[in-house]
Amino acid sequence: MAQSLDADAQAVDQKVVLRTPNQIAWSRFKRNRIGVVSGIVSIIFIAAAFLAPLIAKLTKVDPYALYLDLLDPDRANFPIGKFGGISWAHPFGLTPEDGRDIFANVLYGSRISFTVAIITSVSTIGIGLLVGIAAGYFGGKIDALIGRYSDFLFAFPSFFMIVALSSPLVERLTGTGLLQDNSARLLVLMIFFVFFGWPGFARLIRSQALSLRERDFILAAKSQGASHYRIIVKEMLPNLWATTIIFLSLALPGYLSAEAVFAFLGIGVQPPAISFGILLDDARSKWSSDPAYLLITSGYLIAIVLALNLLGDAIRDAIDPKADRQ
Amino acid sequence: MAENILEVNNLKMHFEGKRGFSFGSETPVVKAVDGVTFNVKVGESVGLVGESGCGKTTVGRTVMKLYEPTSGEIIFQGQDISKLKPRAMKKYRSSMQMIFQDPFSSLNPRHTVGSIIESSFVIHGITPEGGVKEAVRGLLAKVGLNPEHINRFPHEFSGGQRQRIGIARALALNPKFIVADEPVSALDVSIQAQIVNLLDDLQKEFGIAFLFIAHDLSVVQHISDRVIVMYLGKIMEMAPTFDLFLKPRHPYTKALLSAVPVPDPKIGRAREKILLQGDLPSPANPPKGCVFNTRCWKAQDLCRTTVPEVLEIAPSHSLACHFPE
Repeated sequence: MAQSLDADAQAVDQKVVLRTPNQIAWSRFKRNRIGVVSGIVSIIFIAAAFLAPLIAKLTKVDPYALYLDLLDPDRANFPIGKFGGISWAHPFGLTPEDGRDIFANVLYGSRISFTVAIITSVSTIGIGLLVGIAAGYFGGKIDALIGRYSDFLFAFPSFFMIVALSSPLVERLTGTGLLQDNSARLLVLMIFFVFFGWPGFARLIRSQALSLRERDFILAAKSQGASHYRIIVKEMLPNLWATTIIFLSLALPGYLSAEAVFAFLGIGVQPPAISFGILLDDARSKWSSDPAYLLITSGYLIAIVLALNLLGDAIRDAIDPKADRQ
Repeated sequence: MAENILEVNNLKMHFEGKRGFSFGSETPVVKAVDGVTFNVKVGESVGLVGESGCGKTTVGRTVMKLYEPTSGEIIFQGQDISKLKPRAMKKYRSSMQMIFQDPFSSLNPRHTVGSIIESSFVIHGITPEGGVKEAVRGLLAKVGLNPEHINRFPHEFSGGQRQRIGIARALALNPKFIVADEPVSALDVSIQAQIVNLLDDLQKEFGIAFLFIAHDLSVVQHISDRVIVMYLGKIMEMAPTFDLFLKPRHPYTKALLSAVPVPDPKIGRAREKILLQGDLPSPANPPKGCVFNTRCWKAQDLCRTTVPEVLEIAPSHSLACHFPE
């Protein structure tokens, strides 16, 4: 407390400028070393995923090339060298038996997995925020309707729904000629994720909006003549960001893994496309002969998840005005 | 006679217990405010007192149009605002403001003091002379806070300071009328005095009319020109502060005044104390006749059947009782 007051007092002494809460949050975020590091690491991971073809070209590796000459036929086509064939040319080593470059595979795999995770979590959160605030703030019939509808979705065995319905839906979609193969499968998977994902978050937001609505500062804004839009955006949303960011930092890795699970079960993308699910499935089947393969791919996924979670925590702390208090 | 800034005629605010889909089941109607008529003159400070649950806060909020009144008129600056839509209401919002009871809930914890106070300017699209920043600083100084605290968050202030922030927010647009909803009851006594004096000074300096809602009679006595006594959604007595405290005419007012603690134990012991029997009846099911008849020691058959009307028994002294003192 004392430290923050001193810091604030210094800022006051220099020049008292009116700062918005966002500016204050940003300056607080910059002081959090873990937050800054995890932010940079997250950006690197995401950039690496989306720039995968470029990076692969620069490092002269190809995810689909089979580097068979680097495999040892005497040892059941196990890569030559230590730790699954780690070398400067192949920093994460090679896969046993077919000799593919793991680094390039992880990059390409994270691209698809990230795309799925980001699109689904952002859509889930967008729909959840909108619906949750509408239910909690306006209440009454809107709330009752949304509540019953989300009950209905909760009651569905969503996992089996996805397993049972995805292949006929993919066929339908392919039949229309709009999307083919893997893109059709991914779209169906994402639609399912969002469809079953938003009610949970909407419930959470609704409960918070419901308690916020009864606070006097909402009444104060109303008595000042603020519109519903202003009350929701300026008074309610700042109080909901913390929850949203925590949910996002859990949902992103959650969907990342969910995509892996469904790819593993053969519902998401299929080879020759690469995703974390396919990579981990492959690595798991070979882990007793080449543990480095499994360790490196799962370690990469863990590092991403950890960085995103730490970043979420840091942002939450930065936007919480009371976080400075010891 | 000064002009009325606010006139409330037969205001009713009934709440229905309905939630979501009721599927035809009957839900009780809570008559929080049931036919209230009063006025506030320009620059006047009117106190509104009564025990918990009597509808004081609802009156304040309905007058501010935070609720849609069930029926009745609210005439503010000569215009009936009781049926205005929010958009049409907005231009009156700048001249009427509200101060809230709980300073820990009335300030958004995610906003700085600066952004809380400047919100009035932003909502009404007004740029004060010398800029918003200067205006915010001026307001902070006016309520006795350090103008350099604009970038602090509400949790860094004490209860009394927070209440001052709430007052600064209410003052931003130079309102003509302020509803103060128990502005000091959440504060401890030494701070209460400071805030009451601040409101008193502001009222005198800017000629703001106040509707001062309170349950602490000594505070009301200090700040109000006139006092309205409410019980179960209805007005019992309405009189200039001096008259009311000197000679209460309604039995309920008398009982209320007798409960005010007196610092001198000798006088305190000698004084007649009236203990009301029983609890406040539910506003969902108010008693027939005079609403006070269940607890009044003077109640007779007439009181149980006929509702007493609010009659002016002396200049600006009104009363709703069949058998006044």
